[in-house]
Amino acid sequence: MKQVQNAIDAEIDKKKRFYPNKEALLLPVLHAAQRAYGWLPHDVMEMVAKSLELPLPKVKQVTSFYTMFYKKPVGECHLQVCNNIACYLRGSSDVIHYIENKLGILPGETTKDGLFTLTEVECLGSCGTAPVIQINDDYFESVSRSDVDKILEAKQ
Amino acid sequence: MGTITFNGKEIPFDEGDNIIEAAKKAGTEIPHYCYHPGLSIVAQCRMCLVEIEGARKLATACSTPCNNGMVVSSESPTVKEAVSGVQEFLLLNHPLDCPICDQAGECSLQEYSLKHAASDCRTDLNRRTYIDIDMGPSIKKNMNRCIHCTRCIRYCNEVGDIYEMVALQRGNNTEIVTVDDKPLMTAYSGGLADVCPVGSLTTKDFRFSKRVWYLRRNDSICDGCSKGCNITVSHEKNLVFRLEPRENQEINKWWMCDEGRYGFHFAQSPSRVLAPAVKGGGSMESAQWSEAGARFNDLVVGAQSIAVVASADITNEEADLLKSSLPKAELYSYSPSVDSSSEDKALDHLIRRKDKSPNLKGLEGRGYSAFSKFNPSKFNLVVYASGGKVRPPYGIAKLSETTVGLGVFLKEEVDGFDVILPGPSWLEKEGSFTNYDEINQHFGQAIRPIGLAKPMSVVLSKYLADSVWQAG
Repeated sequence: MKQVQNAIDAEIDKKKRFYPNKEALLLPVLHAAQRAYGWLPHDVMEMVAKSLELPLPKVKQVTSFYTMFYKKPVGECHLQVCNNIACYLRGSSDVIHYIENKLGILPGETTKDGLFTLTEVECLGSCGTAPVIQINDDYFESVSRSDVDKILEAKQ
Repeated sequence: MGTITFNGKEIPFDEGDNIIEAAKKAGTEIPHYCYHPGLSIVAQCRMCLVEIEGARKLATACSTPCNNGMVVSSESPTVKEAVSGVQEFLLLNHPLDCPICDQAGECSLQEYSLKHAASDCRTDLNRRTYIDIDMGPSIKKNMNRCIHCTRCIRYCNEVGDIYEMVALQRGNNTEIVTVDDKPLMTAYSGGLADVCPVGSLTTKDFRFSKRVWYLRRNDSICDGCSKGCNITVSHEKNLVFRLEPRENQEINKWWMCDEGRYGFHFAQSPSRVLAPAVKGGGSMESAQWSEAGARFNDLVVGAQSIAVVASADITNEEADLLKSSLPKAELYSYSPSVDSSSEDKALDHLIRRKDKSPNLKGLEGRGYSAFSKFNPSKFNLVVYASGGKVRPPYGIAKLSETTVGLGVFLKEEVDGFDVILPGPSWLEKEGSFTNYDEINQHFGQAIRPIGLAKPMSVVLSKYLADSVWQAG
């Protein structure tokens, strides 16, 4: 928790001169807190609220709005599969089903060992190389079943 | 200052007016949900779209300030189509349960559906459903009816000064909740039902008690504290159902507190004394008006020294009347929370004041002394006049030889009195209160006196002998 607080403080110090007020700083600070802790439990949101002197409900409202803020723990390897129209036409549903069967989880769930989380997401902006999986911060493009096998093996 | 052309007519506007306000002054209502003159502007319901000449897109009338020479239309075919589309969109998830909704009859959604929406429904999609949830002591939430205007959230932040209410999730899944289901603890929670344009937030006090179109409304003044908020009394068949704030920019703006809003129940309490009573063999027994009136006169005529103790919730007119009818009496005012108006102060940023009586300032101006100066042993008759809101000081009737109660009393308070002459509460009479700021406000009678209560003017003129008021 000490580390999270440090990350929050560092982010505030670094970014505050670019933002007009503390309310506007909320998004970058939440990202920093999430990077430090992995997800955003109540305590972390409280920490953010205190550091920015904002009411806690305001912070909860913002985190609930954005799907990129995790309200429950995610696995070490977060598989975010795009299922919008371009990816869908190029077989992303099949990729999702393949991952579901292989890992034994549904979208929104995490494997028991805490290694993988599967999420269906909206357009990742890489329609030219559909279907796309974003794993943590990296893109894997034109993904097929065999690619999925390789990726999952590498991560295990 | 300037003019805009609105629907082909030239209308004036004041500096800072938006198009909704300018149109309102000219007598046209531009439909709106999220806009409220007392709250910040977010322009998110999109209901107030208007066409402005020279602008490429339709603009929201709430967030567009008037500019001299602007040409605005709220009736063009483009606007009509857009507004009807917005209305259809807002109704996608609405349950249309008007027959069992408390807001029916005073619901913006209902009115605008009639005026602006298509008469048919083009979808058969499932509507999202939620169960009704308690939101603290005063408010019940029905999320199904919500159209996400966020007036309630802004009301809490900007008026109630609390940050408990939020919109979680987004889009179709948006839900208005209090964080972690905490109860809404604000002294102004009743106002949420006023600002909610649909039937989502209703007060538990009024919920399901009356269809609003049966209610008759009278303007009045709140008697809850020295602020003197302007209110509307809604009543039917001589029963009051609710009080609502009435706009007065000098005093309460658009708001009122819960204490005042729900404070009228004493007047309809089953334990209110509704018939005259006299002391007989230790306990109070109800009596005819003639008997109680005669006893009152005997006591006044026979008394060496009289004190009038008026609780500071009687009207200025009644205070004058007591003063002129009992010229020999010494006059005292009583307020439960302060001794004199100099101790009065604001309790918060908005409305509530420390002095929980509506007319202390008025009584002081009429020569009524502070209650702390009242020495009961000096007098052998005390006339205690009560408007009902202020509960009499404990044991007031036992302090002196004889005590007469004039006005509104509850059964548990009358022990020790010699005579009780029931009078009307402030809802049942007209008069005026002087607020902390020395603004004198007249209010009308909303309902007839309940039970056998008689106005103080009738009691004093009918039952007191002429010699009493001529003695001065």
